[in-house]
Amino acid sequence: MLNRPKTQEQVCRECFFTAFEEEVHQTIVDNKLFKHGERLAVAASGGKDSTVLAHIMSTLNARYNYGLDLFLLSIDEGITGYRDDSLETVKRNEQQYGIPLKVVSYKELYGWTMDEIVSQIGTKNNCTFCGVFRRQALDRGAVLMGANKIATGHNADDVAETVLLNILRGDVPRLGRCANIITGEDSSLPRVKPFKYAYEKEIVLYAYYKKLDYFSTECIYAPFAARGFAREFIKDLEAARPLAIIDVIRSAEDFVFAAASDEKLPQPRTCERCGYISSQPVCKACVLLEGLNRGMPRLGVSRTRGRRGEKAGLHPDVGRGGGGGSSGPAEVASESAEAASTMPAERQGGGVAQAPAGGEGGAAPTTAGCADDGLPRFEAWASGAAGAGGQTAAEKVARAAVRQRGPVEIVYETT
Amino acid sequence: MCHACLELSVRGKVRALKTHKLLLPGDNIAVALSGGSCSLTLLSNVLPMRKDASTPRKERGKIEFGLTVIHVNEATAHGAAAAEAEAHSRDVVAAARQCAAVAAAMTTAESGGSSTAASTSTSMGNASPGLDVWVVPLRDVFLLGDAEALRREAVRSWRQQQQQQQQPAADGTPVWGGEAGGDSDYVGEAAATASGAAEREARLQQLLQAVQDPTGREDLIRHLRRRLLAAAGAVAGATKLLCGDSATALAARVIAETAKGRGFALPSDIQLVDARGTGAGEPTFLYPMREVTVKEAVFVCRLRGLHLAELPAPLLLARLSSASTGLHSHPPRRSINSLASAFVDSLQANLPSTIFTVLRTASALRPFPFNSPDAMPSTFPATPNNELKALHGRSTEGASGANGDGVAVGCRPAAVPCCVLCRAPLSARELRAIHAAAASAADAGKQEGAGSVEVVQAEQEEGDDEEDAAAPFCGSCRGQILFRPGHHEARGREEAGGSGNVDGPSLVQGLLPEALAA
Repeated sequence: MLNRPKTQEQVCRECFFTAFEEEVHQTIVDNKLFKHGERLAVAASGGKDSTVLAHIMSTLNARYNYGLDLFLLSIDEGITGYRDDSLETVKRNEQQYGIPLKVVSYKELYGWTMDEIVSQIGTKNNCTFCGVFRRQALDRGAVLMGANKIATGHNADDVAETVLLNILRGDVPRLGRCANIITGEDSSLPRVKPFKYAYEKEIVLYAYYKKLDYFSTECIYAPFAARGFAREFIKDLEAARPLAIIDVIRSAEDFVFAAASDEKLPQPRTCERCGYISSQPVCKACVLLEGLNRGMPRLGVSRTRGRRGEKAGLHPDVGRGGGGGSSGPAEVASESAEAASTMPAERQGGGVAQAPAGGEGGAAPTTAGCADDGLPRFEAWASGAAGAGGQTAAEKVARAAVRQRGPVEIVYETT
Repeated sequence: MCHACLELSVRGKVRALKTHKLLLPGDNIAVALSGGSCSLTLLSNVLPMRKDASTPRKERGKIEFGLTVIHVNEATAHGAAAAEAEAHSRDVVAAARQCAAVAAAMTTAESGGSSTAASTSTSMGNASPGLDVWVVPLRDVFLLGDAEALRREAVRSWRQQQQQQQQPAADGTPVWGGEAGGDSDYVGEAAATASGAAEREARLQQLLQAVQDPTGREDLIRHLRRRLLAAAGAVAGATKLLCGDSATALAARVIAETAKGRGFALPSDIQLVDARGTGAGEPTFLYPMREVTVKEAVFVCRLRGLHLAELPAPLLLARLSSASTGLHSHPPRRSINSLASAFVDSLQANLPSTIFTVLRTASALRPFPFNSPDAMPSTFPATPNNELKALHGRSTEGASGANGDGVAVGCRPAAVPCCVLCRAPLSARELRAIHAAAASAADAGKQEGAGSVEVVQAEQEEGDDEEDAAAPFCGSCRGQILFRPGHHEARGREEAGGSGNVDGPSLVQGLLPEALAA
């Protein structure tokens, strides 16, 4: 007999399993999450949420005949002592559930592991990097495997914490989206959260009583996260009133935003460098990578709106490399024809990152104003990127260079 | 920030009422005074805005308006004894008077002493001309439908204050603005009203005890207080009622209401203007202190030498927890409101922009039609009935029209169906549930079947649930006030105990003041 955290009911073990599974099934059906014949990437980290997700998806898929083609997708951020262990767990899951596994790593995609990133930027904003990179990594991995949808293990506690965090940060656009059970449904790769109404405690109980194999250590960088405050509050709320977690989610669903803010919401476009979906000219991952590679850890993290109100993103000094832009294009154009992200990167000198647009850098040094750090390709990119520097002639040339070159396309391989 | 700038900025925020034309000459307004720092600061900023009636000439920057100060005494609701409640109300009145004295002193100082001697002399006495302080105990919420009874109570309490003052007034004339003290048989009435008061007090206590959830109880007190304020303001003839809700309180409320599932109704409670009740003749609520934090207000009070009159908080918490019936064996749960408040305070301590960021986020939510200053009726309350009704939605007819389509017959399409108890606008989801429950309750028939005990109990519970689900309450009121949360758990535990669970769901509803739960 156990006490269900969500409703405080006393139930036996079997009834709990049934109730839990039924609720997830109901969530899936009510929100029409899946269609027959879809290929679903189950984001698997080896932790409790994703292990239970894998288990339940395969169970429900069989029981209710969803007709889904499942596979596991795992991301290796390169965090020693945490991720390497959990990856072992996912590999075991592959055996246990009979679902194929694909692992994508930050090192392959971006040329940096999280440990390297933290050593570069410290522990204050590393979660931003990890999150942004992971999102792209998941998408790219899913595309590589030909998936139509990604399912993540976000549970009710996660969503409630996110709602709270967005309120505290004043992030209104995100607040409107974060409680959605399907995000990006108009895109080619929507993401769903089947566990949106499932309590974290119940997931743990399920995993424990079903004796599922999962890895239960938290990320070594977690104590520094801002989410910790929100998490504590949610835990207190749960103690005061168990249903409060669901109430937070329902509140967020019920929020009606004033029409004025809709116009200011950014519309999705594509990144000029890598072709990934982005609300800005250059996607966040590219900006962050820029910062990492140029030794500017605050790039993309804090505002760099400098004098004369230039756009945030690249440092104003960078604009002086305008002359280098013209020799860049030819080289870049040839590179862009190469295949996608899984090419292994080779670091050069000061660490030219494998920009996600693929292509290997036999980078011809281009002359650039402030390039004494041996990152010639970056000068080309940098000067070409929109919004660099002030309203100088160099920048105009750079902008022209971008227009000639056009956004770099990424060619997706589909198996 | 230096003292002068702080005072100026706070004063500026209150004076913004005038600049935004929310406070007009000839208005009759009421100020809700709890005795805390924010409401005292509000009062002390409103008073100097008032034109001194003693001089006929225009004074710069001052408006002529009638002012009543209303204090809703909820000490007993929080578990204080009657004597303590009395003492608290005396404290509040004294604080109000001191406020007036300080304000008058400031005014004379500002105007350089050239204002007439009359104003200075009256400021010396304790009662300032035209400052009515009404002390209304929370139990009078049971008088809600009866304006005359409320008025009588108000007169009675006013007379009590006069008696307690025991000071020869500067002039022997009654110093309040025009309420007819026409009760000749005051003495005889005193006895009658005393027993009536005791009975109402008992009802109040019974109602509060019946609410199991601590958050629900706190919220119920708040809802009752608001209704009582509105009714008292109406009796006082005020068209606008100023409340001292601070930015700190509002930010905590945003978090707490989110945690209670009230995301839809949230924007209605945090705006400057709230004209929900004007259709029923109630004043418009204004919240000029919504950009002032508690910290600022406390400083201002200190600077001006105003003494606060608050119930000590730890006392409240202890009383509350002991007052709750110990059905659950674990220690009393903290209320969500206090959790949210502590959360916001702890964040604010490290990051002083927290409160304003939270409020800015909440301001991105779309307010309701009754939050716009256009929804306020014109200054003079003698507007034709249909104009008032057309301006805004919530009216008493709405209560009986449980399905929300009962409202807005003959009103403009902007009518908003609201919860009967807390006046929160009902979301589409809640409306659907009410509709559905009303429909199914109609054809569910009576389910008192024979059978095993558990089955009957379960069915009756279901039957009760359905009936109550059709009542026009918002989801939050239903969950935390009317019905016991953890419903199933209680059912599971008490079947053995055999206590009357069947009455549970509708018990609280039956105890509510009639005027509310029509």
